[in-house]
Amino acid sequence: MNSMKLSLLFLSASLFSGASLCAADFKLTADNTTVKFIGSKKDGKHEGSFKKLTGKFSVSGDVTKAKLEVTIAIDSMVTDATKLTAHLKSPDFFDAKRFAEAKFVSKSIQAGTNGYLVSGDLTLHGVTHPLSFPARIDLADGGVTVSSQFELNRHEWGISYGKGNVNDLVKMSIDVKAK
Amino acid sequence: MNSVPPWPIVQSMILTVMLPGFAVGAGVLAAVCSVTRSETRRLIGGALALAGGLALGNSARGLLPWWSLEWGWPSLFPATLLAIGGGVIAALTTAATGRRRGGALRVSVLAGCAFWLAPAESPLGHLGVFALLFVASMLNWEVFRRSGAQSLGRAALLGVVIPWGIAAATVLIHAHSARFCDLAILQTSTLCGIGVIAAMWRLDSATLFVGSAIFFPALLLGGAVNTFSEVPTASFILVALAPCALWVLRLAPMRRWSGRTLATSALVAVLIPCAIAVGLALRAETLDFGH
Repeated sequence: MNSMKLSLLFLSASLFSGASLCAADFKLTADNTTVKFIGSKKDGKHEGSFKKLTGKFSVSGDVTKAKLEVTIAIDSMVTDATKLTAHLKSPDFFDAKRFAEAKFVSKSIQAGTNGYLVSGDLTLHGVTHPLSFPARIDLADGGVTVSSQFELNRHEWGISYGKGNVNDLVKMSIDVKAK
Repeated sequence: MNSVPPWPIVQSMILTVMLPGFAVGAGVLAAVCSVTRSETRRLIGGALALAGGLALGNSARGLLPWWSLEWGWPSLFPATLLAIGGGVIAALTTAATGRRRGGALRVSVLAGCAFWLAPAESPLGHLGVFALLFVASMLNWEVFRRSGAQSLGRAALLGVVIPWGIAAATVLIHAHSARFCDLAILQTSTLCGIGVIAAMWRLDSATLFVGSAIFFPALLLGGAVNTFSEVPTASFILVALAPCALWVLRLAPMRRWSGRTLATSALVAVLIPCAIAVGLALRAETLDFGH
């Protein structure tokens, strides 16, 4: 009987300590998180990313109860062409002086057959619009890795200049490796 | 690096910016002039032509919000319409009740537009930028009005607006904003359409330039504040204030000039600040249409 009590005590202690270990706020920075985009047109494409971002991935063991929040400094954008970077930051596209930040706040993370579906609100270019994207999320070795590729329609955030010349859909790629 | 715009971009610019502006500007004013000899109706027709040209180009290209209460360039379309309408009402008020009321109305409209179009966040603050924009637009408009009275208003104002608009477009494209460049070309094309008809019907179109007096300085201010380039601030300022060079022609010796002498002098006076501004922009930045 005593050994059974001891076992139960040990089991509950293990579960409790396990849950404590899994509950964590992973701080996201440009060092452990990359947000890339590829814009395209009829005769080519260009890749860009952001050098400054902050955020956190809060998780307590169960990924579907996790919360993801990322704020990106639009001014920190870099692309494979300097003059394109200046053009993208101008009022033609991101309008970085008026809308200095983009922010994503997750509302739900649902388990799917091939990873998770992250849903939330993306505020970009002064417009807040729902965004859902598939992601592979792994909690291992005391850290979290997130990997996602998806497309978003720039017009949904009011970035509409150059319609017909620049494709509406922008390929996004997100990678997080945080501890 | 490809510094020459490819043909599809030029073609799109002609079809969706230049032609709508010019055709509506010229078409509406020509239609009004052909059905009425009333100066008042023709003036109102000119205002409608200007508003129509801007609206059609804006619709074709999606350049500006139709309505905005935001400070700064997003309100450029409604604020310009207010300036055009206010300019016409001020001119009619001056004709009906005298200079004082017309002048007060003109100052009020330009002050309101300048307050609306001054960006909220800038190193000088909203009030500081408002004061500069108001003074710039007031100086521009007043010189247009007085030059018009000096008989420059018929065909020669067209010669002033074309280099002004081209210089604005050149500086803005070198600041890497195609949207602002389109807006400068749209306004210039519309004014060209109006200017051609005004010259044919011998109308004094100076009153209609009140929209440009605030439009170009506000657009260039928007470009200076919101773009990312090495184009010096002096380029934006020189173009914004280029028509102020016409004040030289108001000095005593030149005041009596008329005809070709006056028109050529006006063109040269405006070309000088425009050429310096464009030269500075070209030296600071290159274009790459390859991206």
